[in-house]
Amino acid sequence: MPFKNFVSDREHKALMGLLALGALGFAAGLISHSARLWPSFLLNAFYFLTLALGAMVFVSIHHVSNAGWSTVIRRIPEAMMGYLPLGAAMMLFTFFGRQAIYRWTHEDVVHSDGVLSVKAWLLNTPSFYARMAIILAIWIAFMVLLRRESLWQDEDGRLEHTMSSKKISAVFLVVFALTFPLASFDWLMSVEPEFYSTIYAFYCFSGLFVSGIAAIAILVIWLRRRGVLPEVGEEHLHNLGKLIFGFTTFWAYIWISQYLLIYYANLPEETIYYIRQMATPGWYGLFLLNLFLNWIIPFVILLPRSAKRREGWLMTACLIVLVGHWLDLYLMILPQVGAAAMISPYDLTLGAGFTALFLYAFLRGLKQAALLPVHDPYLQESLALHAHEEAEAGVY
Amino acid sequence: MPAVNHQPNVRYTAGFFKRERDVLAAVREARRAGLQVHDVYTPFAVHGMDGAMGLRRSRLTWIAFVAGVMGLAAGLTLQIWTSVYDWPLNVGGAPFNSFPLFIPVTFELTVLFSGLIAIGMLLIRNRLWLFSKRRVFDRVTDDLFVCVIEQSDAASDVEEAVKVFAKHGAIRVTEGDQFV
Repeated sequence: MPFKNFVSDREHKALMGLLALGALGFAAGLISHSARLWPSFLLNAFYFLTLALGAMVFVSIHHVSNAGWSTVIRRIPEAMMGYLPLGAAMMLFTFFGRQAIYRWTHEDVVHSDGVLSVKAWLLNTPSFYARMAIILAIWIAFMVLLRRESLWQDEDGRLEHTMSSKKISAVFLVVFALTFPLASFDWLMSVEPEFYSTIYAFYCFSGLFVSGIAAIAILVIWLRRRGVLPEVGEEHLHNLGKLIFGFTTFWAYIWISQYLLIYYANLPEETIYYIRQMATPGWYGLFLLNLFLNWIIPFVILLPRSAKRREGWLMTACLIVLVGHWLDLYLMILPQVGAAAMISPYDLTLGAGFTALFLYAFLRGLKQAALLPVHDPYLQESLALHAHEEAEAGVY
Repeated sequence: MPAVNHQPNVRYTAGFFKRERDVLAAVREARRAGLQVHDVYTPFAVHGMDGAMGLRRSRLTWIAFVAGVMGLAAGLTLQIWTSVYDWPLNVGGAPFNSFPLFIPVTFELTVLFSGLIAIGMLLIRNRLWLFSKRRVFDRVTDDLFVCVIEQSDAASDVEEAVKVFAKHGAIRVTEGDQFV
């Protein structure tokens, strides 16, 4: 049993079960309904990739901003980053199903469509997957560099690693800001190749970041309940809660910014994106549910100070955000390939399989190093975050 | 440490500290000793001070919430009244009652009401309005931390307070009745 510090035998078996379920769903889809399977594969591959990227952005911002409070939880996003190579492989794997996802991969469609032939210099299979491979390789390179510094510091305790982490993070954030828009335009927006929205990348990023932090919070709470991360106190949860609260609102802000301009301008190639999401009662229901899951419910739950500090409430809000972000991607991809609103078994089984893959990569990352970066110069500051006052005052 | 004069009408004892953690420790110890901490004046928000002073939760959040709801209602009423009922406006062929178009103004008014009313109430509640005569301790907006302890009828209060202040490295202790 490889991860015995963190999961029991039974949970390990359950994880294997999820993985098997995913494989089964994939095989069944491949045989019976590959047109529905591949968009669902893209959805899940991208979704879990965003969790790993969200964690990486979190770690980078932690370093760049000289954050002290988050040092005790840093190993959790660092372990989540470990999914990146696997996630990248999964994204590249969509190559085999590209014709079921991207309309512009069909040469006859491109030839008979004026808009698509103009866009063909960008949207063609070789350059698309070359760009994807390059972007993913860049992200993985930064992930390895960042993680390496952190592990080295555990061994020799030198301050230089903190300094170089800061530099790597700063460069990564700039590189990420340039590569992620391209990635989201390519991988998601080109599912409907005639649609364009300049805020699309920001929209994807807002979802990425909030769900990344939500996943961090869930995993932190889980480890805390296991008793292996007792250093995390209410103050740390409060900070995570504040970030999630803020970034769900950021998501809503970007959502309305995109919707409002498309609504206002009323251009056919733009409105088609929303018309498909609202066309049938089923899609319209999911469209509204998306707003509730991603903003209204977590906003209301996390509004009181006490909810951000309590495991249970924070966990609930985070789970809702994670489901919401999945639904958000569902709405970005599936209506554009002409699927019915009903969530299919492929979506769910693939989701289960990817969850297992993600957790395996995460647990492997956790096992690789101590749960606390013991030689980090900010560790004391992070441990001492208001540790003393609450019990004494007894008023909150 | 200067000697402290015992005057019958004096109501407060103030200790001046140079360091954040000293004033925090002094406040904690004073409360443990049963002294009444009237207030603590600091150049910046000291983390953990709320808990150390045993402050109740601020009611300002509720004021901000109610103000926000007022702003929301005001924004919606303004727009729906003006562009749906009073003078229906055709904007780009959209229906008169185009809810998505009303969201930006509604949002801005919610934030504006909430922010301005919360700040206003904060200043009024702290009696820090314009031309307020409220006394300010020297250097407390710069580099000193002041802990003010309210004197009760017990005769030993003052000595106790002075002792606590001295123990935590107060650079000065004064008394007065003008602190409020």
